[in-house]
Amino acid sequence: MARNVLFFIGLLFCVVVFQALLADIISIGLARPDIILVLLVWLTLTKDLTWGMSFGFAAGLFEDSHSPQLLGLGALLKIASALAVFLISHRVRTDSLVIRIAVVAGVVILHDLIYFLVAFSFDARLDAMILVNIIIPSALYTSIIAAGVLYLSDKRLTLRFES
Amino acid sequence: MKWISPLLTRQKAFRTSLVLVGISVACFLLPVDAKTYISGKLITAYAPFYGISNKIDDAFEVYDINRQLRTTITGQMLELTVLREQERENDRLRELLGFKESVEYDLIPAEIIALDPKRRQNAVIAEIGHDAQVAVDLPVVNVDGLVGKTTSVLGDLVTVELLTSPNCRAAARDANTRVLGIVRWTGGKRLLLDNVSISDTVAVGDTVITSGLGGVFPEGLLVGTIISVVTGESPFFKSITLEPFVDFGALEELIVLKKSGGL
Repeated sequence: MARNVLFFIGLLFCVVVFQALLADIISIGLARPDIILVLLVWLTLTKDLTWGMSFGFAAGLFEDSHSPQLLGLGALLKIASALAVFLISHRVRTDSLVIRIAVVAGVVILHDLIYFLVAFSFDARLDAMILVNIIIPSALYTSIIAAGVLYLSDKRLTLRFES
Repeated sequence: MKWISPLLTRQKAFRTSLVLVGISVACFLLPVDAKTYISGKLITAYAPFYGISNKIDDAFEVYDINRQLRTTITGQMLELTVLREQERENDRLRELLGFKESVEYDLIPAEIIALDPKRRQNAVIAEIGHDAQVAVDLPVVNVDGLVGKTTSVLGDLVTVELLTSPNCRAAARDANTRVLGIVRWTGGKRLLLDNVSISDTVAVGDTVITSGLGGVFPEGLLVGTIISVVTGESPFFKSITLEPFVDFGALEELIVLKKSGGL
């Protein structure tokens, strides 16, 4: 238990530091990798749903602190993302690396789309622009990062279906 | 319902999701003040890392700026080489035509220490170095352009009569059309380019520089930009208003121009 808690805190710390330190530096144009969602997918698939949701909630709250007006929204969407990944993993075989990368890309697009829809009060014109210029490039970039992360952890990746 | 059945069968995960969703929604619905307070506390946890991030950003920026400066310097070095060659050619041609040699100036820095109590706004008192020898009627500039001229010298103190003095006038020209005139102050923050004939061409936005014809100010010192040209006030001349480049209300460091080798 204590080991798990330490692992969780360590991972959270690493993600927060990554987002604070590296995410902006390695961003290409408006495309910014979302390592939180990559790890959320990885945790949900390899650990279990509770891990994914808890991690998404905590990291989401830290991320939300940049925009106090939207505090809670990122956390909520990340919990929903973990739930979506969990439910997808029960309907689709996610043991292929390509499928997992596609799941990450889909989660990033849906997560960001809903986030920006709420953030911009459902302004469709603005959101269409953001979808093309930010969300899709970010999803592609995140997918590339996800390919690396998931490939490296491939040997340890096991789907956890609960009976 | 069939889709979410895997979740419903996992009691622990289901309860956790309800609790976390509840907290997230509660956070989202909090008043702005409370949200700002919580966000502030959360940011405090990782604010130190932002300092490092900013330093890394700065380092990258310095690298980029350095590259830009190298490119600029290379371009300017090439330009300088061309200009030097043109200067030599110019000297040769001037010599052939028997033109008077252009004069070089020493730049003497002066620091404003007071406004002239008797001529407030029209003159300042500046301190120059002990070794610098200056005389009256020397042009005074700052980084923005022409400021005025020296009117009295006492030891290392000089009185500088500003261009905004009714007594200070400068022979000038439109840098674009080369039309000549005289710059003078008539009140307020603006200057007037006087003695420009109705038939002469000047345009709003043109830069006005000293013409070097008055004997005090050398050619090419920046004076101001034309902001209005009015005809009809006088039967012979245009009324041209300039926005001076120099902010006469915020003068600090001045430079006195002294002909090299002369006093």
